Amino acid sequence: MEEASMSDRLPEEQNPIVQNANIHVTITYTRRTLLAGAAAATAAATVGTVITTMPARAADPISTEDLSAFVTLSAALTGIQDKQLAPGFDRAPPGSDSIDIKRDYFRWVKEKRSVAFEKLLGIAKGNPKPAAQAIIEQVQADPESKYLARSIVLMWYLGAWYDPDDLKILAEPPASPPEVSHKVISAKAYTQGWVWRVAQAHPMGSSDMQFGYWQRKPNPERPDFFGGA
Amino acid sequence: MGDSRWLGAGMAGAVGLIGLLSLPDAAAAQTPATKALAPPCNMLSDLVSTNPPQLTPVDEANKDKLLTSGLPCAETVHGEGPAGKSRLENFQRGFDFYSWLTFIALNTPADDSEIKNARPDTRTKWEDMRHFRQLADIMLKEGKAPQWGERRPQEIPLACRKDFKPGMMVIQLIEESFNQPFKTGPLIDQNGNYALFDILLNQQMFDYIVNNKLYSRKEQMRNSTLKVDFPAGTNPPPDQPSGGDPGTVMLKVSWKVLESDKEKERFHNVDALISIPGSEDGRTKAACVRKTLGMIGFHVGHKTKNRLQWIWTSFEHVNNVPEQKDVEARNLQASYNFYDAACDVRKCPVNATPPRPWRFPDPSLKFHSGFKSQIARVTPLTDDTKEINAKFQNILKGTVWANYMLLSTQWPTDFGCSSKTVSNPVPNLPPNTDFDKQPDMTCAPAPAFLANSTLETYSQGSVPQASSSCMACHGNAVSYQRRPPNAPPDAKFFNQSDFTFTLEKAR
Repeated sequence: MEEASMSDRLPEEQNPIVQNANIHVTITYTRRTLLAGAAAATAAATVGTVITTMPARAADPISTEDLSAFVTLSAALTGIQDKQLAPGFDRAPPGSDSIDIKRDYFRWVKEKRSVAFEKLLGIAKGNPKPAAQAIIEQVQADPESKYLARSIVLMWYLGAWYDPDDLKILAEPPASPPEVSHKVISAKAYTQGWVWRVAQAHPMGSSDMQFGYWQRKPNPERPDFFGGA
Repeated sequence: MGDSRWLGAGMAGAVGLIGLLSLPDAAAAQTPATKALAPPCNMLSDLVSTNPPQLTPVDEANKDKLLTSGLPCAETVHGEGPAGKSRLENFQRGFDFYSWLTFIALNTPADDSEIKNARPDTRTKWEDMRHFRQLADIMLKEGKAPQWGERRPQEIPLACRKDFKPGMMVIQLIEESFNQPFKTGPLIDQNGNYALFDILLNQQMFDYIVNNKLYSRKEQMRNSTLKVDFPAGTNPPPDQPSGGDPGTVMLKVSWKVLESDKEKERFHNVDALISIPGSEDGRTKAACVRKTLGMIGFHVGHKTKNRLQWIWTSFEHVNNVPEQKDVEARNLQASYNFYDAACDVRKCPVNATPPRPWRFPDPSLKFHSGFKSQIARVTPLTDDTKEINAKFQNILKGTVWANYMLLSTQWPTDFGCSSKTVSNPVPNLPPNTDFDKQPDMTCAPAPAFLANSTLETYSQGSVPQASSSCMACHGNAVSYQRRPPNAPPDAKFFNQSDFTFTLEKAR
């Protein structure tokens, strides 16, 4: 996915997440999701206190606490509600999510960047909901965390993994790598990319929309598509 | 091919009108009145109490209640449950419990006696045409209107009439009767016989089809603005003991030809006539063979008010196939219906389709070569499902029904999505299902994939959009639509058809 942009919106409704000469991913938010979503990206320019605390315990992929922190973190970063990213996870007992892509993503990130991931989870745990803005500010303040955070955002939207080191090079001129590679995490991840849902479309070869959906115009007032209520 | 075979069978049916008066009246010879499957609706759930959560005992003390409470009109499920279980696992257990109650109710003897006393060949409720009709009896030649009730003499294929006796199962072969979904191939048992498949609909589904003339391709096209929306099952309102309606129920059954009396003791079996239509070119004449068929697979699709994507239940015979992991560990039983434990993997590759050609079965019902299917279950049953199976099989001990197991129940997990109806309801079209522009009209099914080793043999697995998922597949089902004026003459156009492929069989 080299480019996915929707330019027919008002400027204040557009929110560049990653942008340079090689990659330009623009996600369009409505005002409904502006608070969390825009904060995730615009905070790139904001530098606050550097997080120095780090949990002593290694992240456990089956720990409800860690998974919950990951969902909270992901919701803050992507602007998509936690109950959309992880259906039923806020209920007791938690979890009625048959797809459960969050667990796959958790394992993936932990395997790739264990230490930085621990830091990010620590930030989420230290900021009980609702705390999207606080999480974003703390993430952006830590050079080690913020590029991993961007990888996580791209992972949720595209179902693919962009290495944080590559994203760092992209974000810090004058470096200009010819190409940034990415890896589609799994077949399941490919079908679960939120970019398709936001666009009210579907990935090539995989659709669970009703037969004949193509006859109907996209409806901008459907919050379930863009991760709202 | 499917169309021509239907045509052949239909023509046989029509020609048979000539001999109508000389035939016994099947309806008149039928057993006395039979109780409806529901209401009263079976409201039992897997939990006796939610605070604290306490499981309904499936044991001797509760046996009679569990075996005689009838058909659930809708699911009664909870997110709560024993400590350590996730919400998903708790709901799944509830749906699996619902599936067992449904299986028991549908397979209760047609004469209203108790299932605990049933013999292997006791006629079941769903085999009684007063409760369910076969699809072939609904989608009639030239789009004629079908009638509800016992099979009338003229509805019996001509070649089968001389052997027909009231109460017999009559299966009219079409391609879908022996070739699996998406034409992925036939299933051949260890005796070299084709496995056979059949589809049946309940009266609510039948009535909706008749009221909207969906049995006719021409009428489907004429009424192509119709949003197909079958009635949904509902439990009675809270505090009301009576009422409720089971709504739409659809069955798909798989059969194995039984060749010995010993085999007949292990399967629920029926005395069946299998109608094989003649070939288009007239070289092969229509035929009818009488066989004892043993039930090997049983699908139930049930649309309910809060699960507008339907609830999908799948059972099969316990001796059908080994699990893949048992094959790898060589932890095998002496025999299976569709696996030869003594055959080396090089000679009998697992889950391979039969060699082509996949011809229409001849009256022997034997496959053309010596091929026998070597099938393993790719996705194992969960421990929770194994546990509930053991409990229900225990209270069915002594009957043939203890030889069947639930594979799983697929249900939509996103409850906000799964019960969504339109905001501007159309009168007389309950429940006004709203799937327009849903990002996922299947509303996140659990389990994500579900395959019966006899009905989705060759599409087992976990590859999105490729492996068997009841809802993901049936969500693509369509009916015929009017052609735009500028369309090429042979082009076909389709509408969504509410999770059923049956409307494509209109003629």
